[in-house]
Amino acid sequence: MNCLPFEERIALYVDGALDRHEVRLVEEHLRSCSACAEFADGLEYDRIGLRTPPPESSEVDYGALRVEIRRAIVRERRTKRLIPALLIAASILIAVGIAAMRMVSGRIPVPQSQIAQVKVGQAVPPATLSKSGADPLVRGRRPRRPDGISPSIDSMGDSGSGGTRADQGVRPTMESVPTADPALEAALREFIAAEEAVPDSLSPVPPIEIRIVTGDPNVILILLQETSGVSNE
Amino acid sequence: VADVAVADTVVRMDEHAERETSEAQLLSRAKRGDLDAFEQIVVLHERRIFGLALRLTGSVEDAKDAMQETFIRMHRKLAQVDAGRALGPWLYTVTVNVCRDLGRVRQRSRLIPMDEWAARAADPAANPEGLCSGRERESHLRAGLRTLPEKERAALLLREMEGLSTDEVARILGSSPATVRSQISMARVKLRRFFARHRGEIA
Repeated sequence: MNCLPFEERIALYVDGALDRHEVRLVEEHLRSCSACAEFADGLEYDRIGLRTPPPESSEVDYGALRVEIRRAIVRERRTKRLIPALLIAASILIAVGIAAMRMVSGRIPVPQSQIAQVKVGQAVPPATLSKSGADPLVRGRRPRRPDGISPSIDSMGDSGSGGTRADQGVRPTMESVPTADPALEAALREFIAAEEAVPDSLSPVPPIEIRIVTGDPNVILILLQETSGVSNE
Repeated sequence: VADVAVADTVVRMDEHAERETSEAQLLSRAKRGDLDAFEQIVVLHERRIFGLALRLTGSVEDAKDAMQETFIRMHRKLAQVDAGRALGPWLYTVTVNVCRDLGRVRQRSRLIPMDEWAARAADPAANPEGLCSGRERESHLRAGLRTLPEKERAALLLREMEGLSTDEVARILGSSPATVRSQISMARVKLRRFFARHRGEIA
């Protein structure tokens, strides 16, 4: 009798995975087939072997293994503690490296808050003007990059002492001159009034216009300077 | 007899509950960074994990490596271990994965090699009396286990060595209970056929 297909069912029977009806069928078969009965006995024998712990498991030096495990864990903990410090150090190095590279290539971006927004037809607010004497930008000496991106304006935010005149065909207006200093404001008003009184044709020499294109495409700095190089209040 | 059996069961349940409680306490201490508590957890499970790894990998050295790696991984993932549940099944899952990884690394998880002993045992001259010590039987068993596909071997061992239910084995192996049931029965049949081919070598 070929009982090979029956073997898996016997294995399921040994495993207790058959329903009552199938159990009855297998048991009937085992009573009548000595080969399958022997097979089932073999399966039970194998179960005993599998449930017996391997002899080596009582011979291993678990203490030594535990020491190794502990060492590995301590190593991991140390590494874990070091990671944040290493990350901070790495980011500082990267930041310093990037800043150094930009300084070398003259590409330090000007923060938006420091970019003077000057439009044609509007006077330059004194509070945002550079010191013309100190900043080579105003004098037009600093070389412009081919891409038009402006270098930084170090003295942005300084008030008062320097400035340029917006005088390229469009005159400044009184409303567009915000200032906190009353004396300066009075002087500026006087200057603008004088400018308004002079016809365009009488203006001595056309001023030099310096356009500075910033990182923001919507912001262009236009600095106007008299050719004599004397800056106005 | 019935009273003795009931009393025995109650004692065993108490022991089990006590162990679970102590394991949960150790686990919460280990989670707080107590390495001694972690080591006590290792002591509780090391023999079972080593035995399982030994039969999964078939080699004492691999089993040692697997055991160490299992507990190191456990320490790494301590935060994910649920202190309210028994640690055993979780550790078995890790052990099976570690042994599978080891097998892949050493490219022998699917080989069907005859152990040295099995090769010797096949030769009657090497074992003239047909006697077999526990160690030889174990060696033969491992040779048989190594003929099984990885998942069948793991399913059978988890069922028989650790006494897990079909559902628990299925959860550990990421399979369905029906698949695991079939894998276990196929593994039994294949193992029995292997032993039948080497009949006489096992006393």
